[in-house]
Amino acid sequence: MIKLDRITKSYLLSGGNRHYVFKDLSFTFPEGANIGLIGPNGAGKSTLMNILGGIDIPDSGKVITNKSISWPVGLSGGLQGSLTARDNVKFVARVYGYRAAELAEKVRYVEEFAEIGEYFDEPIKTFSSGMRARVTFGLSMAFDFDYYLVDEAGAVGDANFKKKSMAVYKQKLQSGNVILVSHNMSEVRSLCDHIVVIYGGNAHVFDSVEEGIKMYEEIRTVQ
Amino acid sequence: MIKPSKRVAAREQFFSVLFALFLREIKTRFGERRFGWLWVIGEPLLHLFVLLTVFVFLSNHMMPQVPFELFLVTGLIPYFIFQRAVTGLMASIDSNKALFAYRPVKPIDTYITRLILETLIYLCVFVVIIFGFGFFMGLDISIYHPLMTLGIFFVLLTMGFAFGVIASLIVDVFPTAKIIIKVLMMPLYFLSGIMYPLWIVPSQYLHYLQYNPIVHLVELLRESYFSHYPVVNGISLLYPLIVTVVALFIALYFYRFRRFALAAKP
Repeated sequence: MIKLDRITKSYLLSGGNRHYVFKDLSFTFPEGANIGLIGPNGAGKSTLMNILGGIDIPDSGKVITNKSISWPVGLSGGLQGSLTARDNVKFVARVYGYRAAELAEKVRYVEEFAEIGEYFDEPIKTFSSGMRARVTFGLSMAFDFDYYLVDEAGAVGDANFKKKSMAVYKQKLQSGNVILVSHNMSEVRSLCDHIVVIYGGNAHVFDSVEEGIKMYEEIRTVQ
Repeated sequence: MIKPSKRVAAREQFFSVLFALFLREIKTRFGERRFGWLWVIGEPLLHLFVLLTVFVFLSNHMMPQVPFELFLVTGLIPYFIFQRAVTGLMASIDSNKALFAYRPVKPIDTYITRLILETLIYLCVFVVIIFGFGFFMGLDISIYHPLMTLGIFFVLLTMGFAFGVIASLIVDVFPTAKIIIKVLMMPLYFLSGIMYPLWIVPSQYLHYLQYNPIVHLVELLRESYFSHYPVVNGISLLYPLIVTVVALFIALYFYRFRRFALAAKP
């Protein structure tokens, strides 16, 4: 269960006013389902993702859950540029309590997934953005979470990598679930079972993907 | 397999996070320069060596009770440990902010890691210098009351931790306070009785100097280190202990309130 309880989130604007992204937002994510978070730009999708991931905190209210939630998939901020990809992966695995053989297994998984050869033992700061994406994506997929937070599933990498990452998503979704922010409706259709449309500080939960997408299309035409 | 109780799991998680952060911090520091591993100890060692040389040659303190070199080291090391603890902890949220995306990593883990690392570095430096003095200069480096020395170090570390956490909490709300705190740390160097023995301070000023809890700890450390170190009136363990406990209470109380905000994005 992931339940949002009276979440209020605002940002201070440079003019001194406050912009409220959410005011007393309460809703429950459909249980055990893959959820597509859609809505126009600036509606607060990413803010909501960050709150779910614990990167951002609401002004008031709380997120109530008994599920494990991943960090935003593909997050690269947590990597130390001067360390090698291997050391960075080891760090995250250690943080999540893996040791010895299990740790080696996580490292091997990411190394094989990233397919960047000897660069795996080079400092991350020397990587191209594509190589970095391969490592960060592999890192997220190496761990088992109940929910994966994904912002734009197929945003990075070449065609080959996109195909590979979609395959991994499908595989991971057999044991876990995804909360996906995307503007790509074909992606939403292929990965999600339910839709939450974020619009005007409100969340509209749809059990049917098509109905959710319909509302999203209507909002877009109004704008 | 028996599922571990939540308590055990939490403790294991705490230690695995500390271990991971510790290795990461060490590797990052090692990797910055060529022979990085040498610099981790080498830089503070060199710093202290230069200070010692300057002080020993420039000052004409005659101290029949203790060797002046050892007198300086036993003041400089506690000062640096305290100073590095405060400035290190103050910066630890900024330099580790991105890591809080990994849920098990809590701000307090980064504080503790920094404290352990800085302490280990300066204890290594301490040992190297002391043995250097013993080996090359033939000074008697034995500790008179080792258990007491250890105890004083422990109080000093706890105090450094408390003030470091408070500094970090202040800086998180007012980023410019960083400069002010760093400036405030500078006079501490002269007001902690590092370079001069307290008994040469005129008694009307001594009273003010003793408001600084570090003065007490430095003096007590020397008393525990040397067999005949004359401690001036008014030096007590009680005062720094009270300051430490109060500061620790304030630090942890406000940390409890701010722990999620500290981990959140700016």
